[in-house]
Amino acid sequence: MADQTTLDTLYLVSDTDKNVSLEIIIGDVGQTASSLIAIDQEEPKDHEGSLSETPLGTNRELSNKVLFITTTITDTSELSNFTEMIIRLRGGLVFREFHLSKTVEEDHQSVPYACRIKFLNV
Amino acid sequence: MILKKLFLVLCTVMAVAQGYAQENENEGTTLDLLKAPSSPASNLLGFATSDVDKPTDISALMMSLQSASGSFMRLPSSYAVDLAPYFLINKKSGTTTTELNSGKFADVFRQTFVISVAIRNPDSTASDFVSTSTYAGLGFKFSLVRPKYSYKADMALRRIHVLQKSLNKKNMRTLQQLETDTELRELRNKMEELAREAVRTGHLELLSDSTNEFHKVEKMAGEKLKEKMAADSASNFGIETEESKEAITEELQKTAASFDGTRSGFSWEVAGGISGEFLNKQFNNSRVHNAGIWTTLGYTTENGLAILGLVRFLHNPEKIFAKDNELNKMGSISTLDGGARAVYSPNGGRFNCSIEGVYRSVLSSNTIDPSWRLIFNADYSIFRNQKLTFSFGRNFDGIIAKDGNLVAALTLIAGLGNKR
Repeated sequence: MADQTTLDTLYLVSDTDKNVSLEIIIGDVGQTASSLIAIDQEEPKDHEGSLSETPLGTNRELSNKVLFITTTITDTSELSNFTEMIIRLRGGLVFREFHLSKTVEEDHQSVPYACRIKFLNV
Repeated sequence: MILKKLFLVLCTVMAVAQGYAQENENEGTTLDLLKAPSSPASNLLGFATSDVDKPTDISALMMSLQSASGSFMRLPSSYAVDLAPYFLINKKSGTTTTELNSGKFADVFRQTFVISVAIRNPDSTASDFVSTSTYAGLGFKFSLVRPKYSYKADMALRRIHVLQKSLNKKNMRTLQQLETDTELRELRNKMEELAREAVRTGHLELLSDSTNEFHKVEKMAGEKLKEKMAADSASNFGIETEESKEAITEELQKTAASFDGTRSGFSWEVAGGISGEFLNKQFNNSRVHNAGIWTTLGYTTENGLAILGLVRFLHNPEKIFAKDNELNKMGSISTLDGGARAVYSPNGGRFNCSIEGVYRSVLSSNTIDPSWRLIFNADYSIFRNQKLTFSFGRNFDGIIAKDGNLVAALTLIAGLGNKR
């Protein structure tokens, strides 16, 4: 699988009050990760490890805003040099899941991931 | 003549290797008497730990099953597998060091829960089993309390998180600055057009289709973003300050190398299993072969000293230690063991030692007296694959140091190949 560490995409939302949620799953087993999550120019929030399903706001509130995520995964696993980031978005027009991954060449290296997702109101 | 010599040399090497391997195996069974088995069902059916498959994902499980069952054409004849559902099928809760250091009971339970399955069709050389029967075992293991990472490991993790956050902040700044990049804006506008078109025509599924134009533009935008982010990092690499991305990345690698994953504190494990014998390999003619339940409670200190206590109930144990240490030929019998063990195994050290005591009472027989075992073990790693071991104590059968003197209790275990 080719390395993919950046994502630049859209997530379709509508004029409803239904919540949109974000979930981030970090792999492989035993890796160490931190993420910084921001919507537009709002104060970014730090998170350590995987992020369980978290509401970001309603479809209407997120309309045409941009979600920025920067994550660093450090290889602390004794079993594998594989790093993986799965992003799941729910609550908009359709469920979307994005897979990003990279295998580090040397033990204990870190991989920076960067994602930009625009909530497009159609 | 040359062939004969070569054959003799090969035989000698194989005999020595077999001797070392056997010695190692014996050491494993005697030194770890006071420990819940990592794979209960396999343990009940006499599988060596190295023969137990431990698939970490569904693909590996299917490969393992395919190999054991002759491409799914027959039931496996001799097969043992440990399944950890949390790691095998979980794609929800994450498996980073943050989650693996959780002390919540629900997290500890589901992360340590292991199902152990084994099936065995013994041949005529297996002394403890009937060759005309099929044996199947099912077991489980989980922790009620799991020690957290040691102080040193925890400090390393904290430093890693601090450095990661610093790097994330710098990358966030770059990512947000790229909002005005003209090349990226062109690709993003194109994506928006294609998405609106998909909504207008009612073909939202096209957005997930890897052959669709939207997907191609999305991929191009991702690659362009990577290129722009890398260009920013490259320009930053020229600045030799502590705050530069390069310095952070280097320190991250050094700190990650110092993280050894050791844990210290209280631990409490429970394991159990049951195995059945299917007479004449018929599934409608079966009986319980053996069963057991173990619980181990312990405390591990920062410097590698562990104190463990164990209670174990076994139905039809392989050996009734209290009766002259002999194999169980009596059939239905139950034993209860209680014991304690102290292990000193300093992190990264060459010297390890342990002392353990076990008291075995035979519950379902008045003819066998209870007995006890007290043994001291020590080993010193000369190299990573060469160990000098020493073992001394009283076994269940009352014999102190089986070979009669201390010198005979010294054993050298050497792996073949280069010294490592």
